[in-house]
Amino acid sequence: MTTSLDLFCEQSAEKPVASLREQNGETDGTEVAACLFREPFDAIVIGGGCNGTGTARDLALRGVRVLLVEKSTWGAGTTGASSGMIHGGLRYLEYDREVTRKSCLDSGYIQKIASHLLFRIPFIMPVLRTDPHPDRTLALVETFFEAYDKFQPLKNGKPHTRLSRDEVLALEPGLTADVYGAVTMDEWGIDPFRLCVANAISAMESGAVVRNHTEVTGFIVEAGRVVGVRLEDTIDHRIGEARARVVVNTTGPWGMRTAALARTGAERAVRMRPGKGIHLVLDRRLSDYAVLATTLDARAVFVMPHENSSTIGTTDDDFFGSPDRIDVLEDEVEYLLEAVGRVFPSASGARITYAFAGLRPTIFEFRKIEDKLTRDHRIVDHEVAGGPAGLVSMIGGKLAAYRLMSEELADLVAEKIGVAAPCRTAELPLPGGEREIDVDALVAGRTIPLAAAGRAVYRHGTRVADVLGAAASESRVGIVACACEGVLEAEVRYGCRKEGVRTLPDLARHTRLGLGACQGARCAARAADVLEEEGALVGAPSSSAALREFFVWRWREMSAVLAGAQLAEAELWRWIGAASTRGDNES
Amino acid sequence: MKADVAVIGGGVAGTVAALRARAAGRQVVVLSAGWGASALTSGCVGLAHQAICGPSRTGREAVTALLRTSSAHPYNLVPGVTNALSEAIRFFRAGPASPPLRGASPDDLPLLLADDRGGLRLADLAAESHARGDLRKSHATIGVVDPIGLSWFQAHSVAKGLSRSLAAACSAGVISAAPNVAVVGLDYFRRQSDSLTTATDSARLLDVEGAAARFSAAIGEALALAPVDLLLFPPLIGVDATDAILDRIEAENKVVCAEMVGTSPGPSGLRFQRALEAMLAHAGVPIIRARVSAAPDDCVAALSGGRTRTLARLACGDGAAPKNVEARAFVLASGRYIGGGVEGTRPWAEGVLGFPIAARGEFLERESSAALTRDDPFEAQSLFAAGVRVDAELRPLARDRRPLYANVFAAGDLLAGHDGVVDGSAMGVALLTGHLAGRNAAAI
Ligand SMILES: Cc1cc2nc3c(=O)[nH]c(=O)nc-3n(C[C@H](O)[C@H](O)[C@H](O)COP(=O)(O)OP(=O)(O)OC[C@H]3O[C@@H](n4cnc5c(N)ncnc54)[C@H](O)[C@@H]3O)c2cc1C
Ligand SMILES: Cc1cc2nc3c(=O)[nH]c(=O)nc-3n(C[C@H](O)[C@H](O)[C@H](O)COP(=O)(O)OP(=O)(O)OC[C@H]3O[C@@H](n4cnc5c(N)ncnc54)[C@H](O)[C@@H]3O)c2cc1C
Repeated sequence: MTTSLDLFCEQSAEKPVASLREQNGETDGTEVAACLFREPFDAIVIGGGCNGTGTARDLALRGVRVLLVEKSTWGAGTTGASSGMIHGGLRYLEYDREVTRKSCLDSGYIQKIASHLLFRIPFIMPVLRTDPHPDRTLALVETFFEAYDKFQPLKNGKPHTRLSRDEVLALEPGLTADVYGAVTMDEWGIDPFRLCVANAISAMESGAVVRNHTEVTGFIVEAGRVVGVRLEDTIDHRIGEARARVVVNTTGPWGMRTAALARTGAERAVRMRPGKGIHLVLDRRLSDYAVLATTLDARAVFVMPHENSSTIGTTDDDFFGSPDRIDVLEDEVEYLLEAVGRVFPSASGARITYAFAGLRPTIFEFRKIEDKLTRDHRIVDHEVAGGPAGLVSMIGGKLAAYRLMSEELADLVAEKIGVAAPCRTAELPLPGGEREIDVDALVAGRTIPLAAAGRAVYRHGTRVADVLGAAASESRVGIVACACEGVLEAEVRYGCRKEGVRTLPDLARHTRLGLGACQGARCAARAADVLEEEGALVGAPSSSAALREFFVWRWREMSAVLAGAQLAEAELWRWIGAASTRGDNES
Repeated sequence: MKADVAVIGGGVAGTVAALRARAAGRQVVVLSAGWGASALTSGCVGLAHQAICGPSRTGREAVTALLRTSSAHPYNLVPGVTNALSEAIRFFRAGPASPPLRGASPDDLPLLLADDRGGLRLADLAAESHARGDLRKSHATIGVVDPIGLSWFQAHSVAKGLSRSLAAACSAGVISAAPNVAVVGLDYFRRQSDSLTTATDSARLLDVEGAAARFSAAIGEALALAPVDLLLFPPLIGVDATDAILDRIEAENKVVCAEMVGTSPGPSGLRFQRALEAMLAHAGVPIIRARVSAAPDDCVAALSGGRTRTLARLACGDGAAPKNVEARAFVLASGRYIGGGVEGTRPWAEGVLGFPIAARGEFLERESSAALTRDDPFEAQSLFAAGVRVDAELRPLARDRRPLYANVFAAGDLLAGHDGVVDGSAMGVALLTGHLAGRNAAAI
């Protein structure tokens, strides 16, 4: 293999490896890419999770010339495996109210800049009759939430309420008959993938070069200083390099591995103790409220409605393997079902369609646990932390605080490169979040199913008109590509053209296509054809191969939790998958 | 309720078993909780997997090759399995009413068919509507119908895929020349298209009175613009009157017409299942819609092994007062997970009598499904080859590896040792073992 800049840029002549780049009126992708790669950037941001995309956006808005690279697609790491809650730092309340205040304030900012992506999650915290002192427990819980109420206005949250047994059963009839009473609490949720996509697009529109499926495979180190990165396209394996004054390592749980690529021992400054967490996805919506439950080891877990499904989460266990392969274990599944089943009995008998797992990039620290703030995130300037210069890393960094953390990190980078422009991310809306869209007006007089239009508006906000414009023709504008999750075919095409979708798993993450009850059995084959038509399958030998990759990916998340009626579903899914991927005449 | 032979399961295995026992003069009843896997298939039967671009083999040769590589496969239970398969197929195709399958014998090369994604498919037997489109016959130009307005079928990518597939088959020497593939736009569904989200919805439209004539006329107009020798439709030519509609179109338009094989469940499976039921009705075998379970004392789990017993009855129907079904012999043809024969609960057990479930050559206890899987879903998976083990008479085995009942037989997807997605023999196994189980049950 040769390291060649030109090789790497050549591909844009073919078709959109980095389709994101082509937006913003850049007509000739080749030229732009070539010159940007030849001339050094101010900053290279590695990692397309909430922190990488957030930092890239922040820097780009300050006028910094940024390259953002992600080896998979936007949000595909920890961010997409999170519970997606933009919470207000409830758990800091006991230790440091200032942190709670800041968290709530920032949650308020995120609501303002991404209003289309946020949804309210009302929680019910039930107390059971089996509790030795149910009255006392309820009073305690209530006092705690009373304290939180003071901060709720900052994030447009509602104060808690206390519910009697009858009241809470009327709200959620699926709760156990053992319920004694409950307290409600209000948080916000977000589609974490869409948040990352929106940040990446915003960065691009502010002049950044953004590429998914581009992995940093090494650093260019000169005289003890990181001056650039080596890159590889993870689909067609072309390689290249890019240089910058500062390289930013926002690779979440990969952080140590990334730092180690510098071969200078930099990883010692970003030690982590990754905490694995899993979620289970059920085939239907069981409740209207998120319901909290307590595990055998006294942790809080939840069952939460999400789109047409329910999500149960989550666990927290030490993990020592590779972040690229996190398997869900049977006892983790049982642990969650046991806890949730006690407060919400039908959850434990429900059909689990799949499970997903992620790693919390927790800072390595055994010290005082009450010091929650330092536990949550740290920004490391390697120049002052044992070298090398030119590299900064973030460890930790919650989704809910991503904007604030990104700002902090961008401040450091800006200072290093001498840019004085202030941060603008607290006020400037993300693409799509500029104003509210009236769904009814959007579909009026057109053949677009209302439910799917609603989903498109949720995911794209004000950009929905462009999304619909991507339909093959006005007569096809209402064609639904995924019935389980309400994804329009136009959205599939838009993803290919504007969001860098190059594989079916990208598409599933960006749009939820194929993540519903049938796990793509009904829609993936057609979606693969659309990707091929759009020229998105660069590097994949055929749409059958792309389809096969999708089924292998879904199988990994399905096979750990197959039981009961889901076995029949999986058997059917596999027959359909086999028949539709056989395609190109295996020999 | 009383019968000579009670068959549990109304899929292809149960139907063949019932017909075979009936042919031996027995009173037979089929008990079925509902439709299973058989109603979801395309109705194409392979006897064993064959690579499309591999060497040209007959069904018999493919079965022999499968036997060499898979010692746990149910085909191994039957000495001279290829002859037994031929006999089972002959029996089925000579059956009453109109047997749903046409095609070759195991001594011929399988039919070469197009599927509805533009891939190729080999089938030893196929429904008439598919079999008409055998691509081994030479065609200069094949037309892929583009039913304008139906979003579920993308004719252009199918045609592109088919053209690619045929070129590959041609260079592998499977066919002598690769035909041209053209798209033939058909303006028939446009006005109704809003509600036609599945192939089955669309197919039902053509069963309506007068529809076939209009449809045929629309095809005439389309062909005037683009003449072809073979016209391939997505599987939407009616649910009830498919062959009649095809006959009409062929006669009126002087072109061979066939359906592509569906890659996901659709009208073909419904037709196949209905044809099975028509055969049973014609043979005088009643189908009783009910879930069957063991009568209280008869569950395998509750009985110790060591002695072979005779099963007298099963309980039929849920609710407070289940009826008993008494019979001299019983055939379990209750399928795997889709059919409901293997329950997904732990410990693993067969659903009616509680026979132990085997996978990887051993009986399962409480293993997780994940422990029986591999990373690639389309590789052989123990999970999808799990089922009951049987002796050479097809009697299910208890944990002591002996049959607990002398008069209970098993057939079809319920049997351990075959993974149809990989070995391509699922329907072959159902036909063969259904036939043998029916014969054995009749002999009790
Ligand atoms: C189970 C679970 C539940 C959680 N729930 C919540 C919650 O409800 N609310 C909340 O606020 N926080 C939650 N968190 C925490 C939160 O998800 C993370 O702290 C946050 O997403 C970290 O984001 P990140 O951008 O730093 O890392 P990531 O999202 O992991 O992003 C890093 C990216 O870097 C990429 N990458 C890695 N190596 C390379 C390379 N060499 N080249 C290019 N790219 C590379 C990866 O593919 C990845 O996409 C949860 C975490 C877990 C595990
Ligand atoms: C989408 C799909 C595509 C397929 N494609 C092919 C293919 O191309 N080629 C191929 O060879 N095979 C294919 N197969 C596999 C093939 O369909 C099966 O192998 C075959 O149909 C099995 O038939 P069976 O009679 O054993 O079981 P089923 O058809 O599943 O029948 C089981 C019957 O048992 C009944 N039953 C179960 N438990 C009870 C009970 N307790 N009481 C009463 N009744 C009960 C059910 O109600 C049902 O009627 C496919 C399967 C699927 C799902």
